[in-house]
Amino acid sequence: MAGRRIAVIIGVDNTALDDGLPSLLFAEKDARSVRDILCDPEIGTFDPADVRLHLGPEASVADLKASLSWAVHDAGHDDVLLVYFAGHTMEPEWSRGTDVYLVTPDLDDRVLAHDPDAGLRMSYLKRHVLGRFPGTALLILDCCRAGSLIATTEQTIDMISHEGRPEARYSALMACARNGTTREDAALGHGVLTHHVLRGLRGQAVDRRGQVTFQAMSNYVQEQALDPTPGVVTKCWGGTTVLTRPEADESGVGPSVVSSVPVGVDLTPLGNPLDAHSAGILALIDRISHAARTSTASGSSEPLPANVQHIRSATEADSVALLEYTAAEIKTVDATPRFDLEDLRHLIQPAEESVLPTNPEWFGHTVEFTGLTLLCTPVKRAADKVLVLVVVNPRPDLAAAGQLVAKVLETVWRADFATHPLEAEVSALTALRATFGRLPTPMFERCYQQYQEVIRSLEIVFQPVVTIGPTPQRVGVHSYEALARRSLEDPRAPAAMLQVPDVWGDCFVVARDKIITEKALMAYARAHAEGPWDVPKPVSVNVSVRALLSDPYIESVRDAIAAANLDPAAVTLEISERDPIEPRAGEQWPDEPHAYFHNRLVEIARDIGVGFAVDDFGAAYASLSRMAELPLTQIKVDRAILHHRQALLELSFVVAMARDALDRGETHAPRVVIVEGVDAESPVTLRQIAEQKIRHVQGYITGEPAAARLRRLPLETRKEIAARVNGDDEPRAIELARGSAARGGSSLRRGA
Amino acid sequence: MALPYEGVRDAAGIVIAIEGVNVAASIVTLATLKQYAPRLASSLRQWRLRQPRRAAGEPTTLTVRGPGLSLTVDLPPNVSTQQLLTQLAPLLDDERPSP
Repeated sequence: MAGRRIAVIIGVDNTALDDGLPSLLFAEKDARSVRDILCDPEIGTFDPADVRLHLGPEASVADLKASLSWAVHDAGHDDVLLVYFAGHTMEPEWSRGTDVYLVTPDLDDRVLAHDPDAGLRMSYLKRHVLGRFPGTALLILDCCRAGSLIATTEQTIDMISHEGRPEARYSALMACARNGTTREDAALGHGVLTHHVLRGLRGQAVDRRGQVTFQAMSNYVQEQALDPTPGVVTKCWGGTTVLTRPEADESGVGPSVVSSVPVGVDLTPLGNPLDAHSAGILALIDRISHAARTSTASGSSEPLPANVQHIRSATEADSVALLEYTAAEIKTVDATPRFDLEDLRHLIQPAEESVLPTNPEWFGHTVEFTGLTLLCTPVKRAADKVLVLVVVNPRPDLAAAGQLVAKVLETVWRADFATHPLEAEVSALTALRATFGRLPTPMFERCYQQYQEVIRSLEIVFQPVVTIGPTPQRVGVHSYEALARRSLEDPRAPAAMLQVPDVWGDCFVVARDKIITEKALMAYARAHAEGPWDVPKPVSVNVSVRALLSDPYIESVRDAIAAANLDPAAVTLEISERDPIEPRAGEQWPDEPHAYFHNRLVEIARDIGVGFAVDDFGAAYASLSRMAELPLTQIKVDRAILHHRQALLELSFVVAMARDALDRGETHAPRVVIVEGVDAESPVTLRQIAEQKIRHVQGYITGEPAAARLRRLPLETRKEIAARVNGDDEPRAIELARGSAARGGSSLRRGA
Repeated sequence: MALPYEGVRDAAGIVIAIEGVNVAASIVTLATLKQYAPRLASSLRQWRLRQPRRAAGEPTTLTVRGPGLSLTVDLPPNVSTQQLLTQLAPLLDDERPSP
């Protein structure tokens, strides 16, 4: 098998020599640590099956020579060999400096004089292992006299600073020069060289590609200003050989600047100005939610929407009132029993203009007077009046939270904690984010979790895209668009919840799109299994630009398609018209934005095989350039175009654009054009749409709402659509068109 | 990989290309595959090692599905051949129910 990565790792603490060599404390531990990191399932690159570890008694001369021979035997040019040794070395007197031995537990210096091969010589390592290995050979020596590996008999030359013989084909990191010594450090728990080797391999020596090469690891060790100075030799490809991969590649999330926090370093994230109030605000939201969910109307089991009772309970106040301020008067709209407007009127009617609730800049205030605290916050504004909550003697921490509390109260007054508690909580936290910017981590995390729960709770329905034609036989279902709904009966999209990520950013955007796409594809697979079609019709799902730039999102699409057992070519991702195609502030794209995004879509299409549509062309960011410059398989025309004076001209132009790639011979079929929002009220008739050579429409044209189940179009519906394609409904349509023109031609019905 | 592959004469056959293994038309039965299990594991390991590393928390898994068989094998970046052989054992087990 080509490309093997073999290692022989040796650590010897104790010797049988009687010349006073002390036992080492960490050599065996060092060897074990090196082996563990090279074989680490996450960051290592060596297979445990190809690594031989010799510790203490298992590091006899015979054992080591057997393993080293095994490593060299049958090795190929693509293979990598790493030899590591930690332990003592010995230089017999009789050798006169020509032979240095790696000390093994069975080494007997009395035998060596008669049989020099009875030990493991440095020269054996050099000639019979490193020199014979046909691939890339690497050596790490954490021992005294390590530099003798490359020394010659010319002892006046310190080869630690030289590269040795030019024919050397291995790379080596050596702890010291040929006559040098190396040491262990009890504080580090390792040999000094190995301690830094391990740190380098774990990530301190990581390069921009998230890898630690032999060269990078050696450079890192040399930069540690160790005494003695380690020596490095790199030859052939040794320097570029990857030993570990501690970080994600640049194609993923990119390496972090600091891969791990060293022991003893105290790292504290910078504080947020709102940290002090985070727990209090979250607790307030909890209490409001609890109060709203548990209180019920008299004689009914239905929970009540937020009201002054809930606010009083949640703020632990003496009383709460909702007051209406106008220029002329203040009056009570609602109040808990102990609230008396007349008693407090002198406190809640400030004389100063700047603190009058009717001032548009006013964001609430507190009033302190003889042991009484009033928290006054606006909850709703109109042109000539403002609704103000007055909370009498709330919990002290709430009054101290100032505008945060004001924003929460304003939001919860609108939110429906009783019916949709999770959505209400997400709305409250999102309002804080929109108003105050970056929030403390607990608030972010809470909202992120709750938001995902909300999205997971949505139901998926399918709206058919209908193929139109002049006869019932040519009318039918072309494909489906998956739509998210709060419930299967709800005809509207949960727009507010779907737009929450606009406030929070990419993390929320990708989470939303991942969950919805997965749910949609799985729901579609189930619906198809129970539906009337032998082969699944194509299905489309809305997706944001930012999600398409996210690798995790693309992976989730791939997984969801596989799990749903769908043909990727039958899945279309509709690019939302609400997102610009441009880098975020601080982001840099290598190409012009549309070119960059075009390449991204091509890459995704090639990778997982899905198609792309521009959604709601003609609205928001769904521009002409987007349609012309992206590799689309579908163009979905926004319903607004049907209400334009030049609607037919615009549709004709879209069709021409859709045919462009076909006319230029770049594809075998034109892009599919689908006109959205077509129903009985549309000012452009089906006949006019068909005359533009548009064959597909979507909307309430079937007379049935989007549903969880897939159905064939009833014959009556197909007859009616065919009749409209033939112009049978023209008189009514002309009236609609006249009405539209009379209103200025821009009356839009932007339904869900 | 999908098991079994449509159109293969042996219902237990699969289409697979194993690095370094030359099998006729790349169509092997599970019985044939068994003898190459170490190479299959080694090839999977080599493939996984060549993939770009992904962010923590994004595991790569190998899914093998077929009649009477559903395997999900974790593939950490430096997955060992022994781990793969252990996890693929049900695929190559003689006792596996036939489709």
